[in-house]
Amino acid sequence: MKLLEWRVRRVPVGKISLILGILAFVLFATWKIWALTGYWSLEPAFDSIRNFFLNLRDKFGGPGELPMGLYNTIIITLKLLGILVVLLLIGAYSTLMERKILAFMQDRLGPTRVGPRGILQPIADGLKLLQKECIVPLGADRNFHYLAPVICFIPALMGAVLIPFGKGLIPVDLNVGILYFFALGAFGELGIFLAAWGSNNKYSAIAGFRAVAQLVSYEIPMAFCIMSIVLLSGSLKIGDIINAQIEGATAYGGLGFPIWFIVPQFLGFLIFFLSAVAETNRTPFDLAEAESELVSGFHTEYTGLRWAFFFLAEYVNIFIGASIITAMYLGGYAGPELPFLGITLSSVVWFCLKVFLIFFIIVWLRGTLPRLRVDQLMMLCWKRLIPIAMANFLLTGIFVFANTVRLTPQLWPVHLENSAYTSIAAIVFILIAMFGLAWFFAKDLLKPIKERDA
Amino acid sequence: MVDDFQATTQFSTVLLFFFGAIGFGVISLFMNQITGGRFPSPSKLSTYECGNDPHADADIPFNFRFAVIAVIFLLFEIELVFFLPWAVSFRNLLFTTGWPAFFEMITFFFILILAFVYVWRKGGLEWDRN
Repeated sequence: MKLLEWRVRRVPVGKISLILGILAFVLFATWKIWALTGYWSLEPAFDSIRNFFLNLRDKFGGPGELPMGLYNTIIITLKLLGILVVLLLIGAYSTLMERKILAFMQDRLGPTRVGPRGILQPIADGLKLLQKECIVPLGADRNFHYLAPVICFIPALMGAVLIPFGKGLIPVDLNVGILYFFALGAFGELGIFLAAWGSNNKYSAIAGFRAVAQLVSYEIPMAFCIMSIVLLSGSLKIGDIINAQIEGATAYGGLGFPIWFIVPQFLGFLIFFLSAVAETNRTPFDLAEAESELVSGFHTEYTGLRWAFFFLAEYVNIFIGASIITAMYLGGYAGPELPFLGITLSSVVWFCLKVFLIFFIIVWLRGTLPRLRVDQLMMLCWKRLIPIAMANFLLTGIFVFANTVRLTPQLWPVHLENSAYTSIAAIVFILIAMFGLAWFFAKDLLKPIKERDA
Repeated sequence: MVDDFQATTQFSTVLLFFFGAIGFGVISLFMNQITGGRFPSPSKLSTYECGNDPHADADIPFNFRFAVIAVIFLLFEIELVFFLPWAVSFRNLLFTTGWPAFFEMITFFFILILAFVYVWRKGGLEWDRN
C-alpha cells in the first residue's frame, strides 16, 4: 500500500531504548502512586512519596493487598483512554465541521471526496501528516522545537478532565475547577512561545511576541468574568456552578432562584466569549498565526504530526472553552428530559447541543470578520473589555451583597455596630471614586477606536 | 479527611493525565520520526523566509510596549490572587464578619482602579506604531 509505505533509513536504537525506559519508569511510578491512593487516606503528597518507598521495601515480592488501588487504577486509566479517544475524535472532526460550515457560508461544498460527503477526510489528513518528514531547521533550538507541540498538547488533555459531559459525567470535578482551567490557559501560552522562540524564524519570533502579549492581556477580562461567576455560585467547582444554575439553592451559593447565569451576567458572557476566542487564537484574533502576514506564525517551521499537534491542541482548546462557557453561563447540561432517553443521556444531548452552538458561533465569526491590527487588538482588550469587565464584577459584587443581606435578617443594618464607621467611610469613598470614574470612562469609552488613530 | 482523600485521588488523576499527554505526544511524534523518514538537504533545512536566503538569526529586537504590557499584567494578576479567595468565601465572610467583608474588598478594588486609571492617563496603554 502506497499510503503506509515505510521509509526507514536508520533506526536509533539507543534513543528508542532510552525513551522506552523513561516511559516504563513513569508508567510504573504513576501506577504505584494511584495504587497507593486506593487504600491510604493520604495526608500531604510528601507522605505518599515516602510511603511509596516504604511500601516498595516491605512488599517487594510478596502478594500486595491492592484490590481497591487496582480498582482505582483501572477506573482512572479507563477515564484517560476514553477521554483521549473522545478528544482525538473531537479534534479531528471539528476541523471537518469547520470546513463544512465555512464552505456553506461561502457557497461551496467543502470536502466531498474521501468517503461519503467527505466524512473520512480527517482520517486521510492524519495519515497524510503521519507520512511527512519531521524537519528541524538549521539554527533552531532542537529541544524547544521538539518539546513545544507536546507542551501545547498537555494543557489541552489536562483541561479535558473538567468537561461536564452530562449529569454525573464530569471526569474529575476538581475542587479548584475553574482556577485550574485558568492555570492551564497560562500553560498553553508557554507551548506557543517555545515553538515561536525555538524555530529560529523571524515570522515565528514576531508571532511569539504577539501571542504572549495577546494571551496575557486577554486573561484579565476572563479572570474578572470568572470571579463574577464565582461570586454568584460561591464555588470553584464546575459541578457546583452548574447546580447553582439548575437549582438556585443557597446551599450551593446560588441566587435563591434557578436561573442560567447568562441572564444576570450577559455582559460577562460576551466578554468571556470574546476572551475565549482570543485565548484560542481564532479569527478575528488570530494575530499569532496570521497566514497572510506571518505565514502562519508560530508554526511556520513545523511539519507532519508535530504541526498536527498544534491544531489538535487548538481545536481541543476551543472545545474546552466552549464547554466552560456552557457550564458557566448556559447551565451546563441543564435541560428538560427528552423522550426515550434517560436523564443522563438527555443531559449529554443538551450539553452537546449547547457546545455545538458556541462552536458554530466561533466558526461564524471566522467566516465573517476580518483580522484586527495589533494596536486595535490590545486597545480592545485594555480599553474596552477590562473596564467593562471590572464594572461588571463590581456590579455583581454589589448585587450578591444586597441579595445575601436581603435573605439573612441578622445582616440587616440594625445589627451593625462595630463595623458602622468603616462602612460609612467606605461608602463615601466609593461615591467619590464612582463619580470620578463615571466622568473618566464616559468621556473615553464613547469615542470610537478609529478616531484615536488619526 | 474525606475531602483530603478525594482531593488526592482527583489530583492523582490529573497527574495521570499529565503523564498520559506526555506519553501520547512522545509516542506519536516518535512514530512520525520513523514513518516520515529523514532526507535532509541544505535548502530544506534552511529557515523559511519566503524563498529568499535567510538573512540573520531570529534574535530580533521587539517593541518595548510588550514589556510594559507584561508589567501592567502583573498588577492585575496579583489582584486576581487577592480577589479569587474572597469571591469564593464571600457569603461565609458576610455571615461571620458582617458588612466589612464587602466594603474592605471594594476599597481595595477602587485603589486598583485608581492605579489602572493612572496607567491609562500616563499613556501606558497606548500602542505607538513608530
